[in-house]
Amino acid sequence: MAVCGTINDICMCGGEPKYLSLSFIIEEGFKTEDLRQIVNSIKKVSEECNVIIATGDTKVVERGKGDGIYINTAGIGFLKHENLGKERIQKGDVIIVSGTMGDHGTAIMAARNNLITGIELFSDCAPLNNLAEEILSYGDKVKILRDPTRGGLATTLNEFVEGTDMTIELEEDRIPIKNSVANACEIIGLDPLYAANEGKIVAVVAEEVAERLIESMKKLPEGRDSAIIGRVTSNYPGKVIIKTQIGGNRILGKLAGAQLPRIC
Amino acid sequence: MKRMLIEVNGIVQGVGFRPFIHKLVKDSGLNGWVKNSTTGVTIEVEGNYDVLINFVQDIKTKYPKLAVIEKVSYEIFDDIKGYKGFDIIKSTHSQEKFTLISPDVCICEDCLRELFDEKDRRYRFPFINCTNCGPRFSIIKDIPYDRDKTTMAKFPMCSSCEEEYKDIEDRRYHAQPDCCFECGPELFFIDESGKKTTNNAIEIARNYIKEGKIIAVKGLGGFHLVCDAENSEAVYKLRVRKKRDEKPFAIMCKDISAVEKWCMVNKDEKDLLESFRRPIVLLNKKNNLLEHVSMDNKYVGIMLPYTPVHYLLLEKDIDTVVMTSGNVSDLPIIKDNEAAVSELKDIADGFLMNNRDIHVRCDDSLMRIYNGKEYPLRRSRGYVPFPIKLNCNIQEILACGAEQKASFALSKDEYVFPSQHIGDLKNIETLEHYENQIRHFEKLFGIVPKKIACDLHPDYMSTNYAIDRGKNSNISVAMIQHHHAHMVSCMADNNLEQKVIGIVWDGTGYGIDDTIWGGEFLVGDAKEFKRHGSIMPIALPGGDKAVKEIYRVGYSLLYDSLGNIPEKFILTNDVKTIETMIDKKLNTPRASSIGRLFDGVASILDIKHKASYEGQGAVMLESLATNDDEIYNFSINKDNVISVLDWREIIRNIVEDKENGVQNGKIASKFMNTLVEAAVKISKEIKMETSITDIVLSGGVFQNMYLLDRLTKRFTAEGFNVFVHKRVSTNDEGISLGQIVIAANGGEVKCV
Ligand SMILES: [Fe+3]
Ligand SMILES: [Mg+2]
Ligand SMILES: [Zn+2]
Ligand SMILES: [Zn+2]
Repeated sequence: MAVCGTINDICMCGGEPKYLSLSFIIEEGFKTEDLRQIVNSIKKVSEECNVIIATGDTKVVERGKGDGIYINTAGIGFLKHENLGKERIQKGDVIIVSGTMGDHGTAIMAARNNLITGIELFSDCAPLNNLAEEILSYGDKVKILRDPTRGGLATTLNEFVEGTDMTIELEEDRIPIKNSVANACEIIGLDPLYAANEGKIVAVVAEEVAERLIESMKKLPEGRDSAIIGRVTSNYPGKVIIKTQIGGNRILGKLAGAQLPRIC
Repeated sequence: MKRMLIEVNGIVQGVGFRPFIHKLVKDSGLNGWVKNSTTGVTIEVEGNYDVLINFVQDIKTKYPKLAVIEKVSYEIFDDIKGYKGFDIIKSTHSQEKFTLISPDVCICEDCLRELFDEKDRRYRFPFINCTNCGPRFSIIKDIPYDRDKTTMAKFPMCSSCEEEYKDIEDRRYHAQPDCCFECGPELFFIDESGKKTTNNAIEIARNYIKEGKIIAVKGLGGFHLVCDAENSEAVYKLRVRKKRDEKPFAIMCKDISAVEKWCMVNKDEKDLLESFRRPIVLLNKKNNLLEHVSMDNKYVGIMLPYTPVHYLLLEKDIDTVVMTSGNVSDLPIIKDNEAAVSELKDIADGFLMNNRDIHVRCDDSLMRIYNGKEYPLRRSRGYVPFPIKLNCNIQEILACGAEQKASFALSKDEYVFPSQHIGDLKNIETLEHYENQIRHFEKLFGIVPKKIACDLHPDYMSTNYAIDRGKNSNISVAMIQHHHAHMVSCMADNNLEQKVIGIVWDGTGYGIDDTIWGGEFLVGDAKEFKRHGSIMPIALPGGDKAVKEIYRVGYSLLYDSLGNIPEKFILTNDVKTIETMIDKKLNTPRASSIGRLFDGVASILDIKHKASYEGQGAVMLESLATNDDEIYNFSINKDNVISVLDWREIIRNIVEDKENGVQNGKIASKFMNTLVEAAVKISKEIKMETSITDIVLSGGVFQNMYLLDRLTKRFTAEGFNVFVHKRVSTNDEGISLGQIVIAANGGEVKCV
């Protein structure tokens, strides 16, 4: 996960990740078997992504002074696409996502706590270099891309339009959400649009390439659920709204922290 | 001979004030002029000193029915201008734009008589009005109040109307919306196929109602959906189409005797029903004949007709109709014709509408009578934009209100202008309406806020609005604790300034410790407050989800009180998940909230498990309650400095009663009696400590009359002075008033 995160961060800035640093802080008594498993998965991911682990460090702390293991990574790469940024978002652009929303955040909460039985939940942690490369091949038709990790899709989209004259208008029934995730969220009372994702991309692209781009993304396994979910307008400056199935346009606000009850 | 310059402030425009002055002058023989100004009415007259003084006295005592005189000031001069006769002169635009604007007023007796007088030239004219009645707030675009600044501007008066308009002796003298068949708006009916009929529009609409169809009717402040209230099939059809399963509908009755078929009506309720404001009044049902209109509830909201169209519709054999606001779930009431046709086409079979635009949407007000006084639940049409008067002058402040029952308020001098009902800000349509109305009010009253007040909740849309606006306009934003705002709202409502005990019980509000509050015993005033007591926090597995699916709260109460959820109280298969969520505090905020306690108890009693409208659990508990005096044992613990009601023993007793087959009504009654005794106990502690004996009651929970009444009586018996709301709502709609007064006194939690 740590490795994916760093690789994805570089991809999202329009870069091609090349070198990674890798540091471990290991608590005394951590199982070598587990460590081996971690190192192997890092090896696998970095080879897949053509990334070299160039440097690193290992520290061992006394028993009880750490929480098993901490992994810290940093990476550098080559900047290939300089023209990405929220200032390039224009009225008429469309919003695309590369897959189902909320899987990771929901899976983590459900799995870590044995919350839900009988519902299959998978985290979507995956490197995004191929998908990003595909999207970025559309050059300046691509305005911005991001992996909607903490705070989920809603938070990322709010960052896109905050302080601008633009509005993002989503359509609830076009946003891909796995049934299992929707069900789990229903029970836990979470909004999947605010749940974290790993291995998903949200991008704003020019309308004329959107359909074609979706087709080509769908050819990649990590992009098979790609979809156009909404568009950019100027109806309500600085806001993200979602057209709901019951009618009305709900505001997807920026939440200050945990979702605290608002109903009085 | 002296000259006198008089300035009259208050609601003095559009209420026949200048004709009234004209008549007074004629009787007294004074000369001079009168004019509307942006601050009220200005009069200059010349004559004998004693006559002048009498004239001022007459203004103060004999003013027209709809006028509200706030201030009469005058100056006397020795120099004479030598006026001959008396003139009404053109309105002036002064720099300081400030006048009180009349709310919309129901049709008056004179117009009603003419409406049904075959010989009158306005016989059955659907837009009949005069200086004493008709649309005001909903059609005014700007001040001063002249026809060209209203939505009547597009209807030039015919010569007959103009004659009346110019005739100072006429009841329609300067009645801005005055019109007739020849020059006024047109009533028409649009059927299922989109066909427009202008002739017999009323007859067609009446037939639709009689056939059990649903029609949309354009009223003063927006569209209503209307059907025969006695036809349960029609009402169910409306429920299905409007996706409103269980929430009560308001009804309109032809007259008081029709109301008395369904409800008990006392003198005060009758007066309120018949007042020119014509609110919906919540009345006690006499029988179960309207169960399909208002189910599991001992009250039903009724209003009387208030426009000519209503009177024409409710004639002869139609005497009770459902009259619910025409909107799509949670969106603002629809006011424009095109929107009505496109948004309501799946609900209404036909549309009775007209070509007079509604500039400002304004929902019906909802009131009840408590102890002979008005007790507002929704202060809107007929009341807004009339201000709440305070004891002192305060600076110009905008208060942004809360979230779900959003309303804002603006202040100037000694007035606070609360907005009409706005709705739930979660939808962008409602937020837009909210922002537009803030601008509209600021323009109408010429208010430029120097400070903005808002709630402490970081996720309220109203808080976001306040902070954005503060940032963009460089105005400081005062963040105010929710329950403090409730408390001070009730203080201002009763013109109290001294320190009081504030018992504020509601659903949820953001506390200064970043947890959710809602069962508060506060002590303080507009400058500061201290939390003296509350209730033990209740886990809400799923957050707002638990507010809707109240069985989650029921589980949570049982789990905390008994350590497990007894088999017979388990209704759903997510119970294990919910237990885990509570144990591990996963998306499970805690709220010290009486509203949530009611929800949980309603579920434990197997009365309601999923609320289809907010507060439903509490409404049903109240309706079931018998008049028992028993209570459950309870304990109050001292947690650091505050007294905390531990509800676990109460829940255990309720479970025991339930298992022993005690009736729900009795349990509901015992439960509420226990809350009353706990409140008395905590308040007596506070009195011991502080010697304060004045108590204000505020918050949505006090929409519960059983609780309000018992609490008031017990406190009075214990020597406390109890104050309840009478001018603004006890629910979140009322908090903007408190926010303003707190911000004016620097009582905010923080300023950003
Ligand atoms: Fe509240
Ligand atoms: Mg990241
Ligand atoms: Zn009249
Ligand atoms: Zn006319």
